Amino acid sequence: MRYIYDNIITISLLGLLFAGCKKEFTGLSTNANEIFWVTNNDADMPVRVMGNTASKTIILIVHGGPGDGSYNYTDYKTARLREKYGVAFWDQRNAGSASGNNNMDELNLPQMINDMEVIVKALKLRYDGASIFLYAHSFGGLLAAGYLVKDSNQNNLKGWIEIDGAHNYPLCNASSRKMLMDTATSEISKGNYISQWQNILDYCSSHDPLSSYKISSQTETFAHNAEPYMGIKQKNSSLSLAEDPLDQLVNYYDLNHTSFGNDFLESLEIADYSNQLYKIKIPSLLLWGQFDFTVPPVLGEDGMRNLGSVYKKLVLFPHSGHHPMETDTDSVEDEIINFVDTFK
Amino acid sequence: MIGGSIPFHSIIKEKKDKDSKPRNSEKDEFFSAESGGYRYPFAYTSILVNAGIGIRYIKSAKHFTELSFNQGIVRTIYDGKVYELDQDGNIKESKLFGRNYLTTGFSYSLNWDLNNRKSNSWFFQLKPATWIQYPYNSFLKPHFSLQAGVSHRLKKHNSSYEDKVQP
Repeated sequence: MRYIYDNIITISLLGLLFAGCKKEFTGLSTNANEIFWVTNNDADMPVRVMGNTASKTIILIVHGGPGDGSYNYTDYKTARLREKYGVAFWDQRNAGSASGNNNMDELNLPQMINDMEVIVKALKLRYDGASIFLYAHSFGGLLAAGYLVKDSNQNNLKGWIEIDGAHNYPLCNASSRKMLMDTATSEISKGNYISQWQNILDYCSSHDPLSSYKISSQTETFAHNAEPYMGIKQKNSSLSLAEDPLDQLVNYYDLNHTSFGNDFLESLEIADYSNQLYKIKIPSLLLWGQFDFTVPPVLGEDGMRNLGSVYKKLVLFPHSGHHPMETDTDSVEDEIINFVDTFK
Repeated sequence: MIGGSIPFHSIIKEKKDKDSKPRNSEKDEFFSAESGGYRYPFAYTSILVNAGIGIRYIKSAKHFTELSFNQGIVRTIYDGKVYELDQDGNIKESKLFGRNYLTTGFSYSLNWDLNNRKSNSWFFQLKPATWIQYPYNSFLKPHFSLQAGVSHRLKKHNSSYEDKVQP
């Protein structure tokens, strides 16, 4: 046995090395593709801006989930919008590629509304003079409503588009259960997907989603499952990946499999802005899939009844469920373009 | 990545192969340090520094492997401008904003001699590694990487492997 002193130097290359330089804002463009970040209360949130920022009109995507991230809106679903306007894809805290150190205890709705206030301020600074619209889907509808009814936030915007937005969780849960039961009864009598609908009917008949988060969560699963039984072809089966896919996977795990995440999701069950929607005066466009069992069209009707806007319009898409921007893309974009061009 | 290692303990065992020829096998225990970085466009650039401890297994002059454990820090710097609120509630730009995280990882490297048989100083290296970054959003973020590069031995290896080296 003997000792050898032998030094080794290692130089290795990772699969991806430094390539290119930082993406700085270089001004308005008809084909922008740039990123900036907003750091607020321990969370760092990316905002990727794509499309025609030279139009001086920016549509801010307020994604659903919570926790979905905005990256899966960067495809065909917003292609025509990006040709005409700049579209800002914001990953909310603890979603998509948003990062930070110890911040899960800051994950709550008031904090997210505060984040949104900072995001809109940053957009206004960066795209000085631009008209800003919200495009809020599902949980994003709750978040956007919370933002709009607070203080004078709505004065920063020219209008908002709510797509199957859950601005009232209790109403959402109750109407989801009712719609599932009514449709199940009807479809069973027609002989369509009898065993599947019977399973849904049996569960919903004996479980009230307002009584616990667990039941609400299971009802939501049934609501997603029910769409194909009505002929709705869901296209969002593949996992959309952020620039660093592990960011999205870790955030998804955090939200759905940790006590912090579950506490947050459970806290949303009582969130309700219906009785404050009268405060919203800016133009409102409500787009809904007729077969959305997750956030039923009843929520859209609730918005029409309660919004204080002079201009408010509800459009139902007969071939869509919870994601009309996927299943009725052209029609949804037509409505949005007409709305934005009218009020920008 | 660039790094270095210094053995602090080596063990050489003499064995005889089937033909009764002497054959050495060596095991070095070493300290290591390395630094480097990686970048995800439209996301962030990370700069890593870590220190580790490991074992190098040398069974021939042409080839050796290493198993190591390391502990370090990583600094992320975001792509694009970073904005935050100032004390007056106005938006301001935060220059070179990023975050620090701890890292813990394991790696295994395979190294093949690139030189002639007399001078075993340059090696081609393949190094699969896994490490975690924490606290990341109050949890941890796993990483997997496959590094390819070269390693250089500053001092020629002075144990004998004639049975393997000579034709």
